[in-house]
Amino acid sequence: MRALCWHGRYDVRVETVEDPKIINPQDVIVQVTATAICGSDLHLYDGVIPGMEKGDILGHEFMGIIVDAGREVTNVKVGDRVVVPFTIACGSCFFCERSLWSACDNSNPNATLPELAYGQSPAGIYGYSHIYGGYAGGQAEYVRVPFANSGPFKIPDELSDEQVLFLTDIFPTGYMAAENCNIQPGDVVAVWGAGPVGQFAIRSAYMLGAGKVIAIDNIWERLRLAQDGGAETLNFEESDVVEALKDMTGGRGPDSCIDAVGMEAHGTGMLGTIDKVKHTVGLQSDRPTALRQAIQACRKGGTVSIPGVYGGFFDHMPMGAAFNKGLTFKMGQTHVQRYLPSLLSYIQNGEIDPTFVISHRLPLEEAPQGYELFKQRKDGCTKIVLRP
Amino acid sequence: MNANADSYPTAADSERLAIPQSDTNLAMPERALSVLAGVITIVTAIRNRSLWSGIALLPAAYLIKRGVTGYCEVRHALGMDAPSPAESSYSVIEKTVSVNRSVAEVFAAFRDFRALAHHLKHLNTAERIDGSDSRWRLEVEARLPILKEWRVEITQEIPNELIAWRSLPDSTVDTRGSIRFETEAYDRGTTVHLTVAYRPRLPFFGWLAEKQKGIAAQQLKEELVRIKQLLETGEIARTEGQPQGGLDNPRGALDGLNRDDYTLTTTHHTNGHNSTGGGD
Repeated sequence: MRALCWHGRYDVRVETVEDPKIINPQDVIVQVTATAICGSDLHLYDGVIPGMEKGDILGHEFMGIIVDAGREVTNVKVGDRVVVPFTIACGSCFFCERSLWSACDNSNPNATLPELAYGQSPAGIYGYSHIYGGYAGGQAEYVRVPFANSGPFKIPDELSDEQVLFLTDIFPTGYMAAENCNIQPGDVVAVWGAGPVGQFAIRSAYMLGAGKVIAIDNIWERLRLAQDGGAETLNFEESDVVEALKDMTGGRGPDSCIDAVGMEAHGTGMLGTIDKVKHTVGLQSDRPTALRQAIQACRKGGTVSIPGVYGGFFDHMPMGAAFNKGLTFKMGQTHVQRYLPSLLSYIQNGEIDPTFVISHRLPLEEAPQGYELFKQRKDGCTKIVLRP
Repeated sequence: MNANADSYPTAADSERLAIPQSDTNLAMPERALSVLAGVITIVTAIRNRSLWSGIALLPAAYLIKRGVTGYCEVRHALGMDAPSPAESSYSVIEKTVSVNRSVAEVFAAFRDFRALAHHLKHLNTAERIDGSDSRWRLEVEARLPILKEWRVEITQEIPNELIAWRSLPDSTVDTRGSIRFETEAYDRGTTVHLTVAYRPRLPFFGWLAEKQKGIAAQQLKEELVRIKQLLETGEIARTEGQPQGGLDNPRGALDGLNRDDYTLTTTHHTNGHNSTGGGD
């Protein structure tokens, strides 16, 4: 089959590799009909996520048809059309039973690695480094899906691939980010990063009762897309974000702040430059400009919700601001399985059409160009759907 | 070990196992130096063949003796015993794992040694000795060949609570240990406490075994996790045998392409903006 393989920083290639096969009794093989490049795939492309090996197949947003199933698969069957949550979860451990799917205890075969770095291991993730299990990803013609009794989710025929593809990651990720804000009617929610996750966070915040959402970015197509979703916008290159947010909220600050940027923020000011230098010489793994602003801007007693990915360490965490304002922090990889039924019904009821975020459609063979396009944010690129 | 079971469950597992204290009072470097000094003195004396050399043979012999046995009467008389030297005491590993299953299921799985040998990475064989269910010959994957074969006897078995063992006299590994099972309150599963004390029966090698203890501890922890995975999910997560890209094509996909100028099959809106940053 053909698959997109990682070979190093800014080096991904579509290659012919062996077809995947059933390895464990609860595996299925999915013939991929649509897959997408995620903003977090750019962290891999940029080479900032450790634990990658040459030849690793990328991709954690994918859907398709089940073409083979292991003997202990009972919840789905060959021929089913499914979306696959990007977090792999066993469905029967302490965490899965409590609906903390992305904290699954049993899906990461390389748990020892993250245990050293993080204390405990998160769930396995498709195509997202050997720290997350080293699973081959779905930017390919076929993909092996383990623990198929608690992952693949059947999709009604009347919905198109593009309508449901983002149930695999970015829609639930944006939704969980908004849900983590504990939004009260009329709340003001600020969202850093108007990329795909930020866009879904904006719409989810309104669905959960927000009075006003403010989107922060520097790319006008993305800000315009945020406006389409009902958000007010701020360009961080044109204004002092923290001051502007105060002005827009009567000095109080947003009730909740969502950091949908993560570890590779486009830094501003002196601290941004210092972060960049430290990162370059290996003294700091993450560059948290957006998170620092979110903490600084958030109102007293408010919530900072973090769907953006962080991997390691950074300095100058404004802990004093967080403490003295009594902030709540909520974060983490998305518990996708928890949200699938309700978000599917939002799509079926027509309350949201996730296709709004798609800017480009490419064949899988052109995935390397897609990565570069997405990386450079060129040509109005917000979200790329690949067709094998 | 049975006598100490009374103190269960308050005492630490290693104490409960009544691991005997060491019968040596010298540390390994001193033992090696002692043997070396003794040998050098004797070799020198034989070469010189003088009266003084002859007299030196006696203390030289003592140097070799204390090095080999690891016990020095002089040091003991002076009250200078080395504190519990590691080379002849047991290596002790204690690990726990929480399993999201009932204590009965967990106990049954740990008691089925043959099934464990089938599933675990570092336990190759488990077979009954003379058909007895309480005497077992275990073959483990160990870095030290001398730690490979364990012949043990179950000394205590309380269903859903405890399995304890001790090595048989003909075992090359001297071991005692226990697996204790504890139901966690509020339906939070079962905690398994594993304690293994072991040392090779041959002198000297205990020191080597202790050096390798870190690796053994990590392996034991991984084995406990494997059993937990099997019990909770019925399989062990793995990726061996999955496809991977070839490494034989040295040319990058983007080589020869101008990174600023792509021709794409489908593009939507175009504009002059070319900025970086933004969201995930």
